[in-house]
Amino acid sequence: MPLLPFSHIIRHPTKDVVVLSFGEHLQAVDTKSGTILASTVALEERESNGLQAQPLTNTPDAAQENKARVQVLAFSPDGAFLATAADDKVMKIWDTESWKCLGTRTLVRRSNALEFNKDGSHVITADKFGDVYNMVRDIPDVVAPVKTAETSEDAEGDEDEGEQPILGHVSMATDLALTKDNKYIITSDRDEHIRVSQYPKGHNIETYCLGHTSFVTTIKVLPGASQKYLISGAGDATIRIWEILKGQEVQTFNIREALGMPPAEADAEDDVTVFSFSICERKNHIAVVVEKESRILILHWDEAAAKAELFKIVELEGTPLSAEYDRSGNLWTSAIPAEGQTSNAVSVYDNEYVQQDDLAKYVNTFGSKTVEVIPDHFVYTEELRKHTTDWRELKKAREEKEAARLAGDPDAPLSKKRRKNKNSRKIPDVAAADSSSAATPEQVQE
Amino acid sequence: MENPTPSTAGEKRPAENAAEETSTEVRLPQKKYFRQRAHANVFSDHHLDYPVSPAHMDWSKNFPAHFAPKNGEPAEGAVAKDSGKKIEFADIGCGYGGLLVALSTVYPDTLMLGMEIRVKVEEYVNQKILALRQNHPGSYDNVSILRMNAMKFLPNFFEKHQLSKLFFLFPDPHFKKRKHKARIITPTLLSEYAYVLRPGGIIYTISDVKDLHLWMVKHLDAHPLFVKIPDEELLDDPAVEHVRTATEEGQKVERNKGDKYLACYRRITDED
Repeated sequence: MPLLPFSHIIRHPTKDVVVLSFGEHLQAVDTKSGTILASTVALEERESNGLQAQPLTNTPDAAQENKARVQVLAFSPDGAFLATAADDKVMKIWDTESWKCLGTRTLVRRSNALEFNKDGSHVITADKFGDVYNMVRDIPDVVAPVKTAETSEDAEGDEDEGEQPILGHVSMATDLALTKDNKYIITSDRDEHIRVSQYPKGHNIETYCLGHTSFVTTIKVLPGASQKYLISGAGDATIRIWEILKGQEVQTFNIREALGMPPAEADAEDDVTVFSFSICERKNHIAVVVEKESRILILHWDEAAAKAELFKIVELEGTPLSAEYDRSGNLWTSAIPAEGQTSNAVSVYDNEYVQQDDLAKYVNTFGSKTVEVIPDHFVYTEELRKHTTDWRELKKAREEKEAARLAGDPDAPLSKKRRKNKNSRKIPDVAAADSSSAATPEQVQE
Repeated sequence: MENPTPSTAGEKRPAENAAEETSTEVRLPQKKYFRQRAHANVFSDHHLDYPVSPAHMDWSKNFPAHFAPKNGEPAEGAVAKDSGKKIEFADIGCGYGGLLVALSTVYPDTLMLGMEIRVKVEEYVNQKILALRQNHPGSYDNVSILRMNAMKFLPNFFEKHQLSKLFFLFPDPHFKKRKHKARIITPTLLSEYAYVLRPGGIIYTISDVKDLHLWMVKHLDAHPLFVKIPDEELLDDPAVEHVRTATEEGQKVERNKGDKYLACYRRITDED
């Protein structure tokens, strides 16, 4: 029976600890010794291979009874709190000393990104509808769900109540980042936009960083003295670096080239997609996890030159889900084992990117839990793809081409159907043909 | 200009049109061939063409008298060099183009663009503009239309603070509560409109549906970047009269003896 893979790894900002999520559960691991400090599910009895059975510092949390998968996690900058949100819209705040859940809150919609502000007083969520909420962190133990117009459909005049977003995108929000001074909040969406707005007055849009040609999956502010730059990953096989306040692209990093892949086919709908970034400030390294790709790219960020270059490629066994540097600069990675393989769920690479099995041995032996079937971990990126094979879309595509041709656009392709039924058109051609008539004869020769 | 044969690309052309080409008047398109259902789902992924960013947009197809083609090749009827002007007025959901056609001669030196998501309707306006340009050489070069989802892609077309007027005439009311989020004026969208509109710029809204008007007023009042323009100030604005009467929708409301509720707001700043 397989083990549930670890979907996310996040490091504690001030302690040598990482938290791993698997399904609806969490485990905290000491990165110096590799021991499991806390877990929301009792550790299973397993073949310990000579390892000492692990005592835990806390007992399983009753609040984890539902099966909602943890999607986003964030530590407060001082490390005192951990916020997690699952796909059942419930957000939890955990105390990072006792690893107890301090309180829960039901969000308006499923969160796609979660961050604390710099003093830890607020938690910001960017949700699947595109709205970004700036919520006060204090949560009593028992909290009623947040009511807004969308959640209470039958009540009249309810639209004034409830929390209002500080800003919103018109399509699904995919990630959010704050500049270190918290003056600006950067949000990305499914329609290729990266928006820079003031924080907390999100209604003041500073600029947009436009350049990606497919849904943006992840964004992070790059470390460094200037705090000027943002790194973004998308479904267009590129990683881009931006000067945040100018909305200017300073570099496009081509993933296909870096991985030695041929260029994408012309009408391919889907392309290589970035899953996540992890940044090691000390080394100025960025570890990039690419969807369904066993190789992790390590980029070196040179702030003075404003350039990121490929430093190394680390090849994992299996399909990586997450990679995170710990405070010592070791890279913790989690992966889904390849079909039929029994590789480790977690692999740790030291500062020279040499695999160190020691640190991962406890979490590989005692961590996670066994399941019947490994669930699909790529559902959420699939959701971001635009499905243009819907019959409505095809129909619209045909209408589009026709409209473009009627409007006199000489570049519009002729639909094949048109050539056969030349005389069955209902719309009489009038003015448009006059100005475009010089261009159309060539098309008919095709 | 040589007259191509009527069988070009399958177009049915009455014989008179061939002769009309040499006469001064080009027949305007007839609306009855361009009717389309009023509602379109703004959230679905239509096959829309939009540029990666405003700098990538080639406006020479829409405004050949003001923009040179981006790829450097001289195109028929297009100028060789950009006039330096930028679009200043945008009519969101411009329908059959009544307002734009009216404003084009009121503000002949200003570039204005209509945005319409419905295919057939946009087609109609495009043909109408081309016909008007032919019939009145030198006029109507400053107006054009684009098939676009303005809710999603305004920042792709317009730079920060580029526009001086934004028009929302008789928008879709989306009566049902669950559809309210599809309304063209919402708190979150207003921030995007404020981004493309310059401080001092004006948003014009008009509707015959009182509920929608109250909704728009409520959200505009609540937004920190918009302040209502008092009715007395509106009397001096030449655009207002056309907002009330120039559109097909507006004329329909008059025929049916409905009420029109106008509300105009100025874009201000609240940055310190």
